[in-house]
Amino acid sequence: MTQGALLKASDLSVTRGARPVLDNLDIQINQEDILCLIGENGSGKTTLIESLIGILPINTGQIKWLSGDGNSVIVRDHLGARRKPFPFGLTLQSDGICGEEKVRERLESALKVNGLNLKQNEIMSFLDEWGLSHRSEDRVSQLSAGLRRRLAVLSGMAPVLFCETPRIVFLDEPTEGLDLFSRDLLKSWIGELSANGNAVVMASHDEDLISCSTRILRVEDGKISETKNTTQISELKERKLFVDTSSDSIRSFFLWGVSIERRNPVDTIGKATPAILALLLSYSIVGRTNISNSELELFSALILAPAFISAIVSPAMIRRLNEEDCGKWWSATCGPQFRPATSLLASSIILPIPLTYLSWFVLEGMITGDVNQNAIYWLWLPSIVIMDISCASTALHMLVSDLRRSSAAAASLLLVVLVWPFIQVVDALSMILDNGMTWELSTSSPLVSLLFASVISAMVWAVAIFIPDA
Amino acid sequence: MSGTTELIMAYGIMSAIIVFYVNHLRSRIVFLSSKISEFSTSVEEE
Amino acid sequence: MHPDLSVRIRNGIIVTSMGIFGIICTAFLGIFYAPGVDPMAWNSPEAQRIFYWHVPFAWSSFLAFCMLFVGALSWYRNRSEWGWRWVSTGSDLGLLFGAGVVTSGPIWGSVEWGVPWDWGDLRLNTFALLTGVALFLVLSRRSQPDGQETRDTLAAIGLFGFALVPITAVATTLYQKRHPGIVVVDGEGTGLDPVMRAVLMFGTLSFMVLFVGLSMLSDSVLRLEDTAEQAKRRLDEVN
Repeated sequence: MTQGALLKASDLSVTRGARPVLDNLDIQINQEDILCLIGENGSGKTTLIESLIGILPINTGQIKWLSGDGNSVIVRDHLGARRKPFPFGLTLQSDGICGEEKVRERLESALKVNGLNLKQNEIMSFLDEWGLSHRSEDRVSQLSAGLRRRLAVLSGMAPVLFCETPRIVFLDEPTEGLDLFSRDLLKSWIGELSANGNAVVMASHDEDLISCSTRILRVEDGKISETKNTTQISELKERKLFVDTSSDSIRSFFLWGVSIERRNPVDTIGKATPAILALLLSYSIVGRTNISNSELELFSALILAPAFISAIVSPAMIRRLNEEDCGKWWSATCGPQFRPATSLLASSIILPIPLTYLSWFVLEGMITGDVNQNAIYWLWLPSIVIMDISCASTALHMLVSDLRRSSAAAASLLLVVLVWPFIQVVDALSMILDNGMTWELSTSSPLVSLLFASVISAMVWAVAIFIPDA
Repeated sequence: MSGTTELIMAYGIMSAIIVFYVNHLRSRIVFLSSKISEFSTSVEEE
Repeated sequence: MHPDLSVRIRNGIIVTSMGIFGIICTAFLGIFYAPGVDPMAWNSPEAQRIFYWHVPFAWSSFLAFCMLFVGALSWYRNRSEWGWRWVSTGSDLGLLFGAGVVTSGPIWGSVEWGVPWDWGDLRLNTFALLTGVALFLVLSRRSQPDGQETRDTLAAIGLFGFALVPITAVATTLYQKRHPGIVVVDGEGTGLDPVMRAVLMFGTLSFMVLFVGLSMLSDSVLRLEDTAEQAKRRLDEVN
């Protein structure tokens, strides 16, 4: 098979904070390559892999991916641009799997993001080959560390091994935690991947794995030095290869998030509980002293408070993505659309409208005097703006989620900015309660207040989403 | 208002809750029994 | 499957079936046989017949929480597996029967009192909290990996939930606001028609039988899950 290039990195420099890790590297990865990165701990092997897959920004140079049919995409360049690479296989050092996923579901997601929609019996046969079929319906958190590692390695390699199109597989310390059976299987799969025209890039200290590589790159002091190696060609197993359809990784990501939340609705309950407690508190306070219709702003704030609280609570999805670098795996797979997609997936989209109507039904009897009777037909409008606030809040939580020790304090300070759009929404609702809904565009119209609140939320969202990737 | 509709609704909901749980137990017993025999067969084969 | 387990499941099915037959008879007796209440004294006299299931549902949920409490104590003291199975079964049945009470109660209340719920009534709200604790325990057991820390945490929450049982049960006599007081035990201000009491007692007995049957089946499911997990661990080693 012709050895075409699959990836070219030129003049690549990467720093981690102030520390230079990689210094003006030139690397080309070709079809059939089995490339092993070796070096001391902290030499930059993982940094190199993460740069090549596009999740780390680079200081100089560019990283270009090439497909077999002549297409190319510049995944990263020194100007901060980021694009989604062609589908590839990935096994991170920390597995990259959320504990709430099921075993079969994990492999299925990894195949789908690479455009492979296989039948259940085909997926089960892969699991069976790796001794995981009896655990197919178990959650990953129920597995031992060794079995989790097997699943991570399988999910990294299967999408490429069974695909007709030559692709790259990245494996970071794949043998860590694997038993003898799994190591032998890993080596045979690596040989098969190469024989089928794919490239394998791995970081490892394992001598056995190093010895089966065709190219050995030593990473030291930010530079690489290469040694060629001759290996024996493995015996190829007869395998059915599948044609990949266009991969829709964002859709797979949404489906993944929804199925996990359906199985364990901790996010929904975690947001609804403080909201309902706030409503009960409002009820008991307002019940003692009824609100007159001259205090419509207070009444509007109490109506909207539960929805607002559900919007700003830290989403469980962010914790799930932080688990074992699960977010990093999805970020690599989905490309630059990952952050905006997460901010939508993790936001409180379904709760604001029902919570607002629930607040209305609980509190409406407590206001003395007249309010506009048609207000109930327009409660959904401020609730939609609260959804915007929720997206902005999620983006802020994502911004600080990497600050593992100080995240709580930082997030609570940043969320203060969202009080401003909330006050605009309260103003709008009080105008609707007083005079009904109007569509005129004046400074004292509810529509303008709601639009203003939406714009503020959108600006906060955009800053929190796009700056970290710049 | 005599409350006949509410009577039917209440008994209906309570019945549905019991039926749901009994069916849940039944399907778990069937599923687990088949899994156990499948796993036992696999262990013997190995 | 172990023959002992098959026998347990079979017995559970028999007892559950007897319980279901009993509660169906209770419903028929309550709706068609038991005398009605004075239509002048009650806003919705027909809705009162909800009582023949509503009250046994409540008593069954109290029983479930007692089971949860005993199981939690046994778990903490001896780390006993039967104790954990009682915690699991107690929370499942507490949710089942609690859900029945908090749905049938407001339906009845909306026609009899004019409001489905009274946030100021201690009994209603502690009962809702009990059911909420049961819901939390059921959801947590499904979502968390099984282990000692998880069991310790959930058993502690179960003990807290149980502490609400005497408050809820006694609240009617100490803090009665809207929910009626105890009518089954003869005393000043209470009292029930003998036929109504008989139907209610029959219903309570039927629900107890159903409770025992469901406990047996739930316990069997937990034992099956243990057996399946052991089989998977053997396969892990073999593979």
